[in-house]
Amino acid sequence: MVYTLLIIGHIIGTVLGAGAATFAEILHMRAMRDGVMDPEESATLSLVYRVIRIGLFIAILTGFAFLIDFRFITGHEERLYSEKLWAKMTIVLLIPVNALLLQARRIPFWLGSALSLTAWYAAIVLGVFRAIPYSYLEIMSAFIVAVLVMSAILEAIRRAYHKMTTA
Amino acid sequence: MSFTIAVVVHVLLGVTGVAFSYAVALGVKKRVPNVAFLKWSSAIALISYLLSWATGAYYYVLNYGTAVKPRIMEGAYPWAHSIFMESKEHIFLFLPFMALVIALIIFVRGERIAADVSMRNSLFILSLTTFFLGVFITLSGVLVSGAVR
Repeated sequence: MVYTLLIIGHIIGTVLGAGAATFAEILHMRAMRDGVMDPEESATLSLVYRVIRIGLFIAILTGFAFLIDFRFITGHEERLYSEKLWAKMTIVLLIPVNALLLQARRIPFWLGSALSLTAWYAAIVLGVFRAIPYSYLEIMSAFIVAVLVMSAILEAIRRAYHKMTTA
Repeated sequence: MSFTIAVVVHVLLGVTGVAFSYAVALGVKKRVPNVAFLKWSSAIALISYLLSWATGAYYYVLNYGTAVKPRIMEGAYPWAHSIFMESKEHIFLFLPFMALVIALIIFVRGERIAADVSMRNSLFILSLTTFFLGVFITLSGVLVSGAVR
C-alpha cells in the first residue's frame, strides 16, 4: 500500500515537473515572440516555474523514500550502488542547480532551457527503463549529447515560430 | 521509536531542509525578494535540520555504531564508513548553525534584503553553501546505506 502510494507520488511529481518544464518552454517562446515579456506573461511563467519546483520536491522526496525502502524494507541495498541510480541522481541534481544558474544569469538561456527540459525527460526515461546495461559515464555522455541536440531543436522551433508569427 | 522510523524521519527531514535551503538561495536572487516566503523557507530549513539531527543522532548512537558500522567495515565497502560517514558526521554540524544564521538574518534584517545588495549576495552564498553541503551529506548517506550488505 505504502509502496503503491510512493509510486503514485513519484509519478505525480515527475509529471508535474516534466509537464511544467515543457509548458515553461512553450510559454516563454510565446511571450518572447515580440521580444518583450509583459507583466501578465511574466506572472504566468512564475506560476509554471513554481509548479516545476513543487514537482521536483515531490519527485525527490518520494525518490528518497524508495531508497529507504531498498535499505530497510526490501533489503535491496545493492541497488543504492547502481550506476543508473547515480546517473539519475546527478541529472536530477542538475535541475535545481541549472535553475539557480538561470536565476543568477550565469548560464546562457539556450543552454539552461535545453538542459532543464532534457534533464526532466532523461529522468523519466531512466525511471521507466529499469535495467539499462550502461555505465554512469556512458549515461552521462549520452545526456550531454541529448542536451546539445535538444538545444538545436529548441533553437529551430524558436526560429520557425518567430518566422510564423512575424509573417 | 523504532530505528527504521528514526531513519525515515531523519532522511525525509534532511531532504526537506536541503530543499528549503535551496528555496532561500533561489528566493534571495529574485528581482524583488518575497521576505515572507524567505522567512517561512528559512524557518522550515532550520527546524528540519534540527529534527533530522535529533533523529539521526538517536539512530547513530543506539544502533549504527553497534549493529551497522561493524557490518560495513567487514563488507566490500569499508570506505563508505571511513570516508563518507566520518565526513558526514562532522560536516553535518555546520548545517543547523548555518541555517540558524540565515534565518536570523532574514527575520531580523529581512526588510533590508531588497535594497542591500551586499547582504543579499552574502545570504545567497551562505544559503548556496548550505544547499551544497546538504547535498553532499545526503549523497553520503546513500553511499553508507548501500554499503550495508
